[in-house]
Amino acid sequence: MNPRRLQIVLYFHLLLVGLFRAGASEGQLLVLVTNGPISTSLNLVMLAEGYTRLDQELFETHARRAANGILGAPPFSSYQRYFNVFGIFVESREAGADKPQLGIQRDTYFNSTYRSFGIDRLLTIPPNDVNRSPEDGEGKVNRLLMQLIPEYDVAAVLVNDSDYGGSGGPILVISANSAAAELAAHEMGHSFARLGDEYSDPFPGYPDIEEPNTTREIRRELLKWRKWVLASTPIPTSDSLPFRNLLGLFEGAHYHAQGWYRPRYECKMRRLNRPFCEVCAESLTLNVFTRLGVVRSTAPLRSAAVPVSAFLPQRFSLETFAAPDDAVHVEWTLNASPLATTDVTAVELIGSSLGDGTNVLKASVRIESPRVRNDPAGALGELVVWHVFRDPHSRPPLQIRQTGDGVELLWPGTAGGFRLETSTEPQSSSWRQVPGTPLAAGGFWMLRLPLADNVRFFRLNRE
Amino acid sequence: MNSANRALDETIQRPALVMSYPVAKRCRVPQISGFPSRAALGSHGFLALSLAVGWMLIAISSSLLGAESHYVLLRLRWTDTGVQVLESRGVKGPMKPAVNRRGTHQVQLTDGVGKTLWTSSLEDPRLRRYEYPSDAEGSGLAGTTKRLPQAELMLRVPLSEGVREILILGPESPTLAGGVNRRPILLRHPVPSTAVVP
Repeated sequence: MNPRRLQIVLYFHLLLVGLFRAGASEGQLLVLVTNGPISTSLNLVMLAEGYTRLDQELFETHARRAANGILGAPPFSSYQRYFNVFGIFVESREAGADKPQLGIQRDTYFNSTYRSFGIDRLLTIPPNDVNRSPEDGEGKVNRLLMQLIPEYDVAAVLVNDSDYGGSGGPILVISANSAAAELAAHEMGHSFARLGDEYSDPFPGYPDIEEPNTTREIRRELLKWRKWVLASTPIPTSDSLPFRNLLGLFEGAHYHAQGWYRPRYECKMRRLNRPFCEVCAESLTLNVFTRLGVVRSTAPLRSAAVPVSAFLPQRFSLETFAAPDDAVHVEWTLNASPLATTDVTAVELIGSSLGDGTNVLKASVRIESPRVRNDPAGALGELVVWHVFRDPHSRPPLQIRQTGDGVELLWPGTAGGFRLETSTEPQSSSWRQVPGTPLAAGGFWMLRLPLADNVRFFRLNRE
Repeated sequence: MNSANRALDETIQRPALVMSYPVAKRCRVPQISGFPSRAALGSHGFLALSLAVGWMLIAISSSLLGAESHYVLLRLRWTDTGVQVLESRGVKGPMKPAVNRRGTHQVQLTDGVGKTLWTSSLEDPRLRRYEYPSDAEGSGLAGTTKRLPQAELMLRVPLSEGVREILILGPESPTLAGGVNRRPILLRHPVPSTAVVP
C-alpha cells in the first residue's frame, strides 16, 4: 500500500476509534496528527481547559501549535513522524483560568489556576493549594484519558490563557502562550528519558540518584558521557570561554550548586529556549527506540510460518523507526548462513533454495544514529525471525504473450519436472503435451507456437 | 489468605468504590474492563455484573484475535489510608516499556499464591515536584516541592498467563536491629482468571 493511501486508511481508522470512544464520554476525541496505529506509535494528547463551546477551533489551533513546539525540538523532530497527536475537547463555561493575584475567577472544566502555592506562573489543576480534591482536576483528566485514549504516552492540559505559565508533573499543564511549549519539551525530557534537572534550585529530600545527564563522578575514564568529551577538554570543565561551548563536566546540576555535574553549560534541562544537549538528546533518542522498538513493521508478519513457492520469489521486508539521518544496517541469514542482498531492508527467497522442513530466516537490524554514541542496552538493535518452509503445493507460473504471428509461453527455468500441456476445454480430460522443445532464455523456458483459429488453454503439469 | 491479610485487604478495598464515581456509572459494557472490587460486588451488583461481562468480552475477543498482547491501565488514588483502584481498563496491544521507573514503592504481579511474576517501582504521587517558568522572559526554570494529602496515579501493568493479583507495596523501613522491615501492602487487587488469555 502506498504511503498516502496508508495515511488515509489510518486517518479513518483513528477517526472511527475517536468517534466510537467519544460516544461514551463527555469529551470529544480529536485526531490532530496521524502517523501510525496508536498501539505502535507515541501518542501525545492535549486536553482543552478554559475553552468555551465556541472555542473548539481555537483549541485545535493552539493544540497544533503546542504540539509543533514540543515535537519540533530536536531530537523529537527527527522522530516526529512516529508521533500521533490527539486533542480532547471538553467545554468550559468560561474562558481562561483563575488568577487569584488579579482577583479573576473563571468557571472552567479542570479548575485551573495561576499563582498556585503563591507562585504567579505556577499554573496547576487540582489537587493544589486552592482545591485539594483530585476529582476536580487530575481525576477528570485521568478519567477522560482512560475512556478515550488509554494508549496515551504524554498528556498535557492546554489552558486557554495567553499569560505565560505552566507546571510539570504526572500531568503537564501549559498555557496557550507560545513559550509554554518549551516547558512541555523540558518535561518530556523527564517523562521520556528520566533526564534530571540541571539547575541548582534546591530540592530537599530528593534522592541522590544519578540521571543520564547528571553525575557526581569527576574521573574522566568513568564519566558516563565520556564518548562525547574531547580529550583536550579539562575535567571538571570551566564555565569560561571557550570551554562553555564544549561538552565536558560543568558543576551545578540535580538541585545542587556544588558536587553535581552536567554535560553542557547550557541545555534545555537547565534553561528553557535552549536545545537539548548531545547527552540528553542521546538519551531521548535511545528511549524513543526503547518504547517503540527498532522494527516498525515486517512483511510477512514476523511470527508467521511462511510458505515459499518453489518457483516464485517470496519477498521479506521490514520497515524501521529510523530517522531520515539514521543509517539502517541489516544482516540477513538463512539457517545461519549470510544472504547477499541488494536492498538493505528486503530479501527474496525461493523455495528451491530452502532445505526440507522449517528454515530460519533472520534479520539482525541495527540503527546507527548520529545522536547516539553509547547504547549499552542495545536499544538500537533488534532481531527479526521468520520460520519459512517450501510450499509443497506451489506451481510454476505460466506467462503467455503474443508476438507477431504467434504466441510465446514462458515459465521459470527452475521449474524442472513439468511439461507444457494444452486443451480446448479446461475441464476436460483431453489435455495433451504441447509438441516442441522449449528454449532456455533469461532464466525462463520459452516455447513459441503459431496462432490458431480455436480457443486453447495451456497448463504446466508434473511429468 | 490469612485473616490479617484479609482484614488489611478489606480495609484497603472498602473505600475502593469504583462505582461511586459518576464516570463509572456511565460506563458501557463494551468499553468496560474493570476488575470487580469487593465493594462493587457487595453493593452494586448490576455494575459488578457489567464488569464481569466486560472482562469476558475482553477474554473472548482476545482469544478470537489470537491472544494479542494486552495490558491493564489502572487509575489509582493515594491517600493516607492506602491505595484505591478507581477504575481499570484492559488495553489491547503491546505495553510500551517504562523508562527507568524508580521510586520507593513497588508494584508486583503475582500468581495469587506468593510467586512474583513481574515487578516495577513507583513513586508516591502525593510528593510533587512542580516545575514552572521562573522569569517573565521564559528561560528560567524553578521548582517547588509539595506533599499533597491525596493524589491520583495512572499505572500500566502487563497481563500475562498466571497473573491473579496486583500488589502495591510501600517503602521498606529500617528496624531497630538494623534490618529492614517488610514492605507494607497498600493494595491487593485480584485479577479474574478470565482476564488473562494465555
